[in-house]
Amino acid sequence: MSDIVTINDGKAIMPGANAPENREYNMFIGPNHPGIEGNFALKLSIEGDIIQKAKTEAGFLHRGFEKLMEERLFIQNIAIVCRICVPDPDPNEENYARAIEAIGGIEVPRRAQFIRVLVLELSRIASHLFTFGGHAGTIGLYTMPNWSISDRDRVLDLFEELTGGRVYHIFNMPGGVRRDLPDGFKNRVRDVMDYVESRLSEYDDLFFNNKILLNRAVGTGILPVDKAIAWGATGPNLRAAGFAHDVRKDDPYEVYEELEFDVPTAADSDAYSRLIVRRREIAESIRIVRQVLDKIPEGPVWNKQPNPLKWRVPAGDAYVRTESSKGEYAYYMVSDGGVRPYRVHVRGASVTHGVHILENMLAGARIEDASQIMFSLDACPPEVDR
Amino acid sequence: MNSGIGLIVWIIAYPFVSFFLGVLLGGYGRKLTARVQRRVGPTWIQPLFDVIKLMTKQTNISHGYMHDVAMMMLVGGTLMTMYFVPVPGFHYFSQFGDYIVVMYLLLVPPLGMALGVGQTANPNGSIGISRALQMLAGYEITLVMTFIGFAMKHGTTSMYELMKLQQAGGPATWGIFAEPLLGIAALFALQGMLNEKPFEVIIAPHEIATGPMTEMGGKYLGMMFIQHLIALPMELTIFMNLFLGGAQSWVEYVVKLFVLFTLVLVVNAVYGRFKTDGALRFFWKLPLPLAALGVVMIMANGM
Repeated sequence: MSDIVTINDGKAIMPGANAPENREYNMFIGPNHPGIEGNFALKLSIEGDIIQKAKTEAGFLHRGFEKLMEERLFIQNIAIVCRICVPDPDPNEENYARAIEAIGGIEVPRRAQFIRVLVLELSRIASHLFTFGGHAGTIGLYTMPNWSISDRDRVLDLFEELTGGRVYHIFNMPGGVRRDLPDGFKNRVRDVMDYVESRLSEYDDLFFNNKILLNRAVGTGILPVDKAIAWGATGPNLRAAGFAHDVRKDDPYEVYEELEFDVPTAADSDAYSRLIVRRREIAESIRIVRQVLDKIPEGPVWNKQPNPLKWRVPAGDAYVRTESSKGEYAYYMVSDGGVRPYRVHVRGASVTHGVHILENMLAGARIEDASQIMFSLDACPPEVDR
Repeated sequence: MNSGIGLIVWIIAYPFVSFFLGVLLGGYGRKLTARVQRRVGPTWIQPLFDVIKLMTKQTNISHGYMHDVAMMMLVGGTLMTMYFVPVPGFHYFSQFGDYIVVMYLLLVPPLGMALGVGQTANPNGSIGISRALQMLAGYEITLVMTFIGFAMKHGTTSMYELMKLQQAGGPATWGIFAEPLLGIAALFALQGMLNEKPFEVIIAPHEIATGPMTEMGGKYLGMMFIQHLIALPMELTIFMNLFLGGAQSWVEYVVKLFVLFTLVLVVNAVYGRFKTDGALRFFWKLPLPLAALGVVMIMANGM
């Protein structure tokens, strides 16, 4: 017993916990907390159960991606950019490759463009399945994460077969993609798409039509469309406010122009709307994947570049953008004609959604909604630390 | 076994029997939930391993005297309540304390927890305790209302007497069939008393980082686990004695325990949790009026 240390002695261990003069106290959600989304933290000032002020704290996964890229060869950076968003890495790869192609005037074979779209849509499906699990966890419905994340594993199996990696694929290269589709791969993709599609109705029964979810998510975390635009929201968060902006439609890249798909929107712009837009996007992604499998032409998949160790990209700059599952991703790249990029700037969706919009939306919200609002915005903490 | 040596053996053995049942129920709960979630799940006696691990940890931090005393109130209060709840072959103490005593004693563990967690001054814990006390206003009132109905109908407040009356009358006289409104209301209250979803607002990991458990570790958390494992069969037994005719043999008792707990678990697996006010609103909108209506019907039928 002599080893036991008595701490606290009845006094507050959290700053502000005994502050009767203003009745506010501080609470932390993260970085080690079931309710936080990745390597991230929220510092909340609370009165009663109402959040007065929210401050996000990033930096727990700081690698300095952008600076790192200036120190490495063009080809080496492909293994870095995918780490900027773990659940949906492929838009980063595709953006990075496309920026180099734009500067260098490199042509991408059509088959490779189809494969890129295939990979991007599979990545979107995997990312949304992950998000469903996270969102369901915030209201305590733990069956949903177990279902959706195990279903996501089937998509990861496809990635493993195609690229060799389950989470990080390092697959989109300047000039195409690293590998062609393996034998029988198209059939296996069709099987997985059929399976995921069949599961959507079960998700509806368990989660999307669940009375508790409706009770908690409808009307929670409303982001009016004018504020969404003013604050720079993109992707499903913007579309849930009724604004049908999608880079795949508005500024098509790869072969999206040749594919038929709808852009799901919702009107209420609350946590439920953002969730249901993602649910509908999975159905659209399945539709796109099936068209890709039907239309993909034969031919080479990589317009291979010379020795990557000595490969110089001509001087110039390029701005390219992609519609990721999180929102709009854009890369601005400058090359000075050397073997390394002079500057790469990543405009991700998560700084906007996971920091600026989240901090604004949490002020005035109830503490039990904080985690749900955060997950409904679906940010990628590593991208904040880029 | 309600006198002499048998009684002494029961008094000593009952906490262990109850704990063992709690371990089996807890393990079953984790296994069943895992299967609904398409997982394999841990072994059936995982709760025992958890308790052993926690209780063999060295305690490095205490938050003071009240933090330690609270653990005694938590486990002691649960053990004391347990003795007043009759089970097959052991109902000695129920002659000294009726359902009112049980309801009173049921408040001791949450109050103990409130004192201990309050001492830690962790806001997550304090919010969890405040939620626990608020939830009492939801399920506790409903439970009391259902009990009032039965007490009025049968003219006794003894849980043992009520159980015997149902056993004598057969399944048709079981509370759940004879007074379905009270039975349904009490099922909701049971879900709340067990802190299972949709009423799991006290722990709420994503909101308050497991609430009262946040600042607990090692033996303190172990004590909370032990309390939970003892309380689990006891709370199911209270419902069983009032609405399922109790049990005349241990086989019947265990079967009824597991069937009842399965019902609780399935609901828990497919629902999220209400907000605190949502849970209270639900109790006051549905189970409580149902129970009140059940009481009115008993009164209208001339008790």
